[in-house]
Amino acid sequence: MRDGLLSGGLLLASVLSGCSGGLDPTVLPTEAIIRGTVRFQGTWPPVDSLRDLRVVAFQHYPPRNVFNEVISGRAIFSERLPFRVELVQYQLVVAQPPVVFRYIVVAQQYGPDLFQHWRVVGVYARNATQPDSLWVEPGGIYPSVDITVDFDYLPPQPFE
Amino acid sequence: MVGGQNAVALGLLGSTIAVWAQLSVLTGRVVEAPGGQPLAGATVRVEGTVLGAVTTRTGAFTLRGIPPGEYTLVVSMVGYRHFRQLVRLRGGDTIRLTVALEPQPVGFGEVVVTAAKRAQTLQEAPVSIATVEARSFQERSFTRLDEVLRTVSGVVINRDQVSIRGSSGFAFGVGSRTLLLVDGIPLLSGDGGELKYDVLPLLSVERVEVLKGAASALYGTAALGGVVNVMTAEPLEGSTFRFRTYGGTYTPPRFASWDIGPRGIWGADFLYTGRHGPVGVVLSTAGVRDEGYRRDSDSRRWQALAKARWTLSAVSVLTLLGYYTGSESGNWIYWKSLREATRPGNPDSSQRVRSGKAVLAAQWQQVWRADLSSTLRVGLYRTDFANRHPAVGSDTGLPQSFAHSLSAEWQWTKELQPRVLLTAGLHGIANIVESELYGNRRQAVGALYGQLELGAQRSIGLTAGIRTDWERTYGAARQHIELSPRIGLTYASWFGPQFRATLGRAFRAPTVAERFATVRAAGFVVQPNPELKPERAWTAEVGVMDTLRLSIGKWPSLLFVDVALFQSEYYDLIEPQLGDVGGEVAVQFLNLTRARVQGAECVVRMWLGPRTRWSAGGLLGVESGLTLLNPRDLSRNDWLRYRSRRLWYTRWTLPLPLGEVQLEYRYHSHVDRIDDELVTLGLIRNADARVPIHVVDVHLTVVGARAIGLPVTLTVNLRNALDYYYTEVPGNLALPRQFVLQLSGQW
Repeated sequence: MRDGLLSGGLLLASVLSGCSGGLDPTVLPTEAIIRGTVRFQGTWPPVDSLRDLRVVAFQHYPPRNVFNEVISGRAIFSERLPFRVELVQYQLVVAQPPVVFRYIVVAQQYGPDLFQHWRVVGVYARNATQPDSLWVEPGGIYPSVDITVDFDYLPPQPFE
Repeated sequence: MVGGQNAVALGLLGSTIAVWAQLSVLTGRVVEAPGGQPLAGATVRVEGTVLGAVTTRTGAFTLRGIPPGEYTLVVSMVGYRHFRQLVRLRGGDTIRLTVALEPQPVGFGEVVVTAAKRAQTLQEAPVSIATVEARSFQERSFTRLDEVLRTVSGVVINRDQVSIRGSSGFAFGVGSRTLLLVDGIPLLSGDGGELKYDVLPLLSVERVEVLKGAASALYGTAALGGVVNVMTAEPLEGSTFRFRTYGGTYTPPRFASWDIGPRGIWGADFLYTGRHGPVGVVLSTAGVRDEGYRRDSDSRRWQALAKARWTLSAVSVLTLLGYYTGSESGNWIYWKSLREATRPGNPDSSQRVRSGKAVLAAQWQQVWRADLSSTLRVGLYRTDFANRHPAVGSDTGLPQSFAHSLSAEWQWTKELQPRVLLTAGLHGIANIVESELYGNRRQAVGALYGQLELGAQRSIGLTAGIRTDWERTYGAARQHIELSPRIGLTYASWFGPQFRATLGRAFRAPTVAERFATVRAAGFVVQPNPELKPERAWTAEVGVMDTLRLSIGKWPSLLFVDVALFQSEYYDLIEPQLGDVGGEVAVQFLNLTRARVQGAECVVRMWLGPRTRWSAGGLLGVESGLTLLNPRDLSRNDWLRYRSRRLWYTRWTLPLPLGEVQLEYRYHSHVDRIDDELVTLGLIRNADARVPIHVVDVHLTVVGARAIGLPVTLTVNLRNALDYYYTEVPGNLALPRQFVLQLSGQW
């Protein structure tokens, strides 16, 4: 009887001693925030070719397409941006820094195929010649990742 | 003419009185042997009739209206050996009996009804069945069925989904793979096929049975992973009044960012039961206010139940049952982030959700001959919900849905030869849905089933059954016919152990919601798929149970052991899939998965130490169930989503002179896989925050009859005593530490 109690108690105690307190928000990797402004210029595309518009940050360049990169965890995207505005603020939450984003763009879905029908309409590039990379550190806030979109002069397209 | 009618009426009355004058009465008490303590809640029935009773607090029972003849009186109660006695009745007898039941505290003596749609002992059933008696959950301030099911080995609750031995993942409750029955009548909502945990007040529940494994051969659609059968209370002789009232609080969280201020829960339940002549009634009502430990997850709920059992004659009984649950709650769906786990992340969380569930049911049992009986069950189940803007109270433009599910079944049981039983029946279900989310839809299911049992109550028993279901949903691509066979074998060996084996096929027809849902809410888009076909499964199980006599120290003990090995093969499992639907990111239900779940389960129950004055079992009661699973998604060669591979439930009961202390521990190993898209697309922040589950509940019960001589019970319930933080589904912090004080009583 005493042995049974003791062994049962020891078993339970050993299991419980290994369980700590469960989820703990204080030991999460510190998130980072990317913020910026998207400015729109030129002639907005027609309604039937403007299905979605988002800021997308890719870890690799050149990416193969938007959706697969996001699904596979190699890119993140913002909420859908509003259409036919002059400028809009956006925010990206980077859940697991540190990470390097080598290609940050505004992407437009122009057709019904979620995987294929995307084009880049604006690129984060401070000197306007090549895309800028962004090193994101834990807890970092990057407030000026601004992108200009000119629908009349689209940048080179990375997607095949 | 009027006089003629009166004459006929008087003539009929005269003949009725003459017949009743020839009828006999069996009355008496059921007590424990030895000691003579009255046993409340024992079932007394007369075989070959519909006559039965449940003993009162003093152990008393009365069975009236028994025609002359020779009958077998059967008395049973969990934890005691069955009592059977031949009784000869001439006309007008009143026979008084005192029945003494011998304790058999572990395992044996349980009578179950779910395996064969008739009462049989647990040992006769060729499948695994767990039972939960009312006392074990009514004293713990449980208010919902999911809280009860968490105490069953091998059962996992993924919020709205009941997963029996790994059968289900998580799909926001839509398309339950576990069938819910209340008094034998199926209760899955007509739109989403959802199992609602709060459909009736728990004080009115007498027992819950959980059948593990495929059961479509008797029950048809949705019995893919198993069946939960809820039995409501039977009317007691005389009048009995019961109540419970409780109040408590969620203790403050350890992390300041989770603190949303003091939150509590309180409620009350009442139950009246009585029998007056041939009519017995059960009335129950309940109300609960839960402020919730997360913002916008609060709820109010009110419930009522009425049941009337009218014994028309010794061979005919009519039962009418109606119950209703209304509730209002916040629209919490998932958290903002793990850092803000008690704050909602879905933007529409401030909406209020009003929902209602109503059931009207009737059951007519008739014994036609000694070897032939029938049961007709009809039930109408209505569910509705509507979201409302909190400020204006309007539901304009917000989702709302109404669904009716009508079930009608006529079951016949015929003893073809001694020990050869045939159970057969017709069953129809009609679902009618009017919904902004699913459209106006109709779904119909018609079924014919039969099951043959050879060698009932003998050492070898063989069960073979088959059911054919035809399912049609108007607007769906096609109709379906499903055949669900099952074969089972039991063997009571001469050397003690009872062996069982079963092989069965099951299916689940897609629900209206899975086929037609068109939703844009809470950041999710759901698109319809009328092409869906039923998901199917084959389940095989072998098991053995035995009661071993041990000697621990100087005291003999009984150890009940039940071991099962099982394997389920799943085909075309319907799962929500996030992807490209018509050019946008949307969820669509698809026949996606070929899966296999293999596993083993071991359940033990025992009492340790000598009997005491306050405990017929012993000094310490131990119940423990370990379930090992290998849940594989064969389509992706990966783990099935939302499944733990190791489950352990254990409960220790320490009887005390004035009551008892119970300690429960529940462990689920780390879930290997969830919906990856929730994480990669960032739909729910920190969606992959999950840990193994370790939950300890402590219950202290003080029995007033022993302490102060009053028929009341005080219970202190400490749930999740270690305040262990975990999730069962993504973005949802599970119940933290909760302290509840409950007072219950019976007169």
